[in-house]
Amino acid sequence: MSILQPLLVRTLSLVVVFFVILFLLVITLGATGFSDRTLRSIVNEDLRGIRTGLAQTIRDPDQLESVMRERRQDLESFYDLDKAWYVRLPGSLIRVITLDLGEARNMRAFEGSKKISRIVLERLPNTMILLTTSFLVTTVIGLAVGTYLSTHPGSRLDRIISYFAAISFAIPAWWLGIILILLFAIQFRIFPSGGMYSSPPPVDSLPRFWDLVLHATLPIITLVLVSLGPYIYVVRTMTINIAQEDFVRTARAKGLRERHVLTAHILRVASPPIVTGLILGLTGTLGGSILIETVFDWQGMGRLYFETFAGTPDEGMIVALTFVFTLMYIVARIILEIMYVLLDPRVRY
Amino acid sequence: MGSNEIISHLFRSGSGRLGILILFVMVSVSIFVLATFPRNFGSQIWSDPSQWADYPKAAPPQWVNLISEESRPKHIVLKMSQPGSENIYGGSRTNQYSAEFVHSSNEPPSFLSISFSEIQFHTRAPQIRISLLRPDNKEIVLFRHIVRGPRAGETSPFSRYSESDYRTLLTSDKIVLNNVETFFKTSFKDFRGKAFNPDIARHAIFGTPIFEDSLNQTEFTPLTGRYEINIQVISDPRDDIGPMQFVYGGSVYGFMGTDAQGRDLLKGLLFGLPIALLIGVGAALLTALIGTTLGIASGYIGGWVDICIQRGADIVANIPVLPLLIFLIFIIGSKLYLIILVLVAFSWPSLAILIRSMVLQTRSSQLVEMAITLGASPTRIMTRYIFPQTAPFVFAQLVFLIPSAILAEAALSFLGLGDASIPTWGQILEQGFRSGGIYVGYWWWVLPPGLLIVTTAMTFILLALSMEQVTNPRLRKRPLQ
Amino acid sequence: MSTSLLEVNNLELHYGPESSRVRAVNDVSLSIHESGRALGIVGESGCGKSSLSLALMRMLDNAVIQYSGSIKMEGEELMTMSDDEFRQQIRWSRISMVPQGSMNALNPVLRLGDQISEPLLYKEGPHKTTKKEAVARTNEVLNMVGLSEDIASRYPHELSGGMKQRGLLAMALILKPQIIILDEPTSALDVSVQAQIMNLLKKLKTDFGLAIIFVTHDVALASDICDEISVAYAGKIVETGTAEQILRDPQHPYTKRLLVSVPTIKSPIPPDFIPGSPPNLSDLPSGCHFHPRCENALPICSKQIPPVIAKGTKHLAQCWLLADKPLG
Repeated sequence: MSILQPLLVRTLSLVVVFFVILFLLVITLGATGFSDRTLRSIVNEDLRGIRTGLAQTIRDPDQLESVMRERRQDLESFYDLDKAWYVRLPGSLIRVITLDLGEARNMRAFEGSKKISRIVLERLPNTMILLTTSFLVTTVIGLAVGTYLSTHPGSRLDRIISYFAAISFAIPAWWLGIILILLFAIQFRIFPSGGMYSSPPPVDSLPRFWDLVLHATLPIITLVLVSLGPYIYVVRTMTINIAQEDFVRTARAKGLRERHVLTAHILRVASPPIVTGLILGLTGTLGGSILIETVFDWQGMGRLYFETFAGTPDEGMIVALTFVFTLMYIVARIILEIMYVLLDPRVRY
Repeated sequence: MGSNEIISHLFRSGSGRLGILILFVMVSVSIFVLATFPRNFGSQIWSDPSQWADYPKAAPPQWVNLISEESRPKHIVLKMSQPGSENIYGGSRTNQYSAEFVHSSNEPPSFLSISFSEIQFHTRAPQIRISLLRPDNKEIVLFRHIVRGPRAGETSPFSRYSESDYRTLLTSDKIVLNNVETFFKTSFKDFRGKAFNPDIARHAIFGTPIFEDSLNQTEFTPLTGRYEINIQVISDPRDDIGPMQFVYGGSVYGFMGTDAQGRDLLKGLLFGLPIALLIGVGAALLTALIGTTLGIASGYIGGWVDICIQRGADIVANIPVLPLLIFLIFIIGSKLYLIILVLVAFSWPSLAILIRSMVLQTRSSQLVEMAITLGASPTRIMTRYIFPQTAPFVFAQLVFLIPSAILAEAALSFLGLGDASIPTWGQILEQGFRSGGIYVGYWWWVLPPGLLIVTTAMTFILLALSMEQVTNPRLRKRPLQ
Repeated sequence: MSTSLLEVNNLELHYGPESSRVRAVNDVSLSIHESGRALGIVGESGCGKSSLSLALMRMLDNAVIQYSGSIKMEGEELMTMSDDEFRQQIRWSRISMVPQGSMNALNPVLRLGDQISEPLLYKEGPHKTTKKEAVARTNEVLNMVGLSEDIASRYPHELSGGMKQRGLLAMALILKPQIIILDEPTSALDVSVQAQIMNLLKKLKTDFGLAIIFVTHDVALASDICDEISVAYAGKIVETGTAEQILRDPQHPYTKRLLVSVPTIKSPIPPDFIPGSPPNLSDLPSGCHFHPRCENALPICSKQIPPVIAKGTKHLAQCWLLADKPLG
């Protein structure tokens, strides 16, 4: 009856999924010739630099060409371009996992570094600010409204929320963000339309924090609005279903306070599916953050992802970001599995 | 539970009826669009800036005039193909074309333009003179143009502007600006304004100067009323002069307005409808087909087939969809069919897993066991006995998959990964967003495509919800005994 | 006459909506004279016996439109108490119950011990104890029902059906109630476990002086433990008497039918069934509710509610056939 075994099994299978995804990622890059193309363009760029350098010392054009050919071969073997993509595969896989992806081609970290891992990791906290805050807000409101509705099924508010849930499925989050910008930033000028800080950003920490809060409000409202409706509905439906179970009647028969019955029995049993709904919502928002950060010009990983293929695409950056997104997703799923096992003793076998 | 039951159920619920009504309208409009729009609308018309040169840029819809107090000029296109008068004198012909329009707004038009086409001359190049007669009976000579003469080696007759029109944007042409300035200096005694830029020129052509301020006079009061555009062409009597077009650029346009390139948004939005339906229905059908096939195979055949399909489904179901969707489309290219295929690749697992569990239930049913006993082949059992049991459920899922696919494509398009040769609502939104349209309040550019996406998705959600009672066994009410 | 432990008179419990009023408990009167006695309530499924036990516990859902009559416990009227007073002072503390459907009656994600001790820790009032005392008391009741103390740390899915039933019983005993209502306590168990539970109940009844209301569809089982038996039909008590009187000398045609329907070993008479099905509680037949299924029904049976007729000390039955001079 060990709790560890199911935890290990679930975690391991997710880790396997993670590696399969990475593997497929690298294969896709290789098999479509994308990685060949990028490497070749890097070689060509390097060669251009070398040629201008050599042209000053070697005057004879024939000699220059033969030296260049040699250099090209050197470079190609340095980048393993002379080998087929599947031969390079294990190497690139390891480089992805260790985030050793070299330097970005036309992007810099805020602190100036060109290292891809620096650029990506620097953006991670910004994304986390948005995700965790909207996650917390959604959780609190969702639980409160959902349980309230479960005691008033069929009420006017209940019907409104059920439409709200259906509509929020149909509304693209990014479009909602645009609407909010049009309304609250352009029309009423209550909130800034984008970015994380005003320019120039306030120097003192308190005004600086307040500035960040102002800038984060609209993106967070957007994220909350699109995930709240379905979430309230999950909480409500789960709570109603469980309130009809026999053990709830037992708890009432014990003469316990109604509040205790709700929290210690109904919500306690409803918690595994509710947590599932929440974390699945969070992972959905993870993808949505690419769009939301783009709309609100929020300097997070999503915005970065958008930028890497908006201009001249940078393979290293794309791979790194896809990797980090997948990693975050898998971590969220692992947390979910752990929570589930902890919350529901029935799955411990 | 047959398809009849589903359909009757759809009509019984209010949301089902509403969904069917909207769907009917959407399908009718789609048929209209497919019948009237050229096939290559996207690449040949929508993405070709020359097609939209004579349209106002970023103009809101015409009906904003009804809401706002200020009435903004409407777009007017005047086509002239037959001369109003023709004079032949001393071997040369003078054709006089003219057309009238009413300028009723306090705001000048956003631009004026003139285009000539298909001019053929024999000896001398024709001369064209364009003037505008104002309501105050003063005439501004805007522009003179001499058609390009014979080139070396060219033989008579000489053909000009037959491949593409000769077009001049009158309100920003240097010569026109000078002409307008000259006109004001000669027609208004004390006028001392100078350095006309296109904006001043627009106000000047459709206004009278305010004299109080003597230096650098560039303020004008609007002059509303009937204007007449006159075009005089002097040429050899044998020469052919093709139709001409004068455009008075509105600052409101049509029913849906225009984007920053002047494209008529109504056309783009209309064209987006059949495309959205195609994406949604196409992706949903393929997903249903693959999901059901794999689900039935997995559930009925079992063994290694089952394990492989279920592990595959597990992996795909555990993938962060949007980042990988973006990644894949970026790598393999954003062609519409590829986008649909990738969407399908990500959405089959949930259906396959559900169908499998249903198949496991029906496989042990008496009907199927009887069929096995009677010696039916596995294919026959799967297609004739098991599939019909899952069909209503698959149908409901299919309806539910449609909005997901539409929304996913819109998201990809919004990130700039849409198929550029086929305009979609997501792409229109992306252009509205990326060109900064939202920051200057171009609501007509970003609201309608989003609303259309929401409406289309909502229609299918309504249909799916009203069918849920039939197809979701948990929600089905027990029939009375 | 000394005051009875429990005295129920003219109890009514109707569910809405008004247009199709469900008369689940219909003018029911019953009593348990003193502690250590057991009253059986016997009837087919759908006769309102579960509603009766819920009515006694005042566990009413939103659909209840009428709840009236008198419930007196040691002379004190319970019906006039506010819901909160009743919940704190009576429910589980003085009248507790073992709910029907023992398979789902326990919360699946809480340990059995926590569920047993819950009222001691979270219920306001004089029972409130420390965590330590609660554990001790839990162990005590577990022992009383014949479960070992380590069972307390198990989850319901780790328990067998019989263990769950004992656990529920232990749960019902935690506040030392005077009366315990057992709603079909053994129907989900196999026969050997059923016998163990019955023996346990008898022991609790004699050793601890527990008064028991035993709700079941099984007359034989009821007669095994009960001193008195009330036969319920369509939300009403149609016959009541000592177990002996009911078994040996049933008066009401329904009771007779009920007894014949029980198969007996080596009996020459084949078990008979009761024709028809229990009436719909929202659309009861007029007069005597049993008349459509009664072989000996008189014309008056469908017209007027029959009188209650005494057939000896404590033996009462409500039937026109027993009236000396049937009217009409």
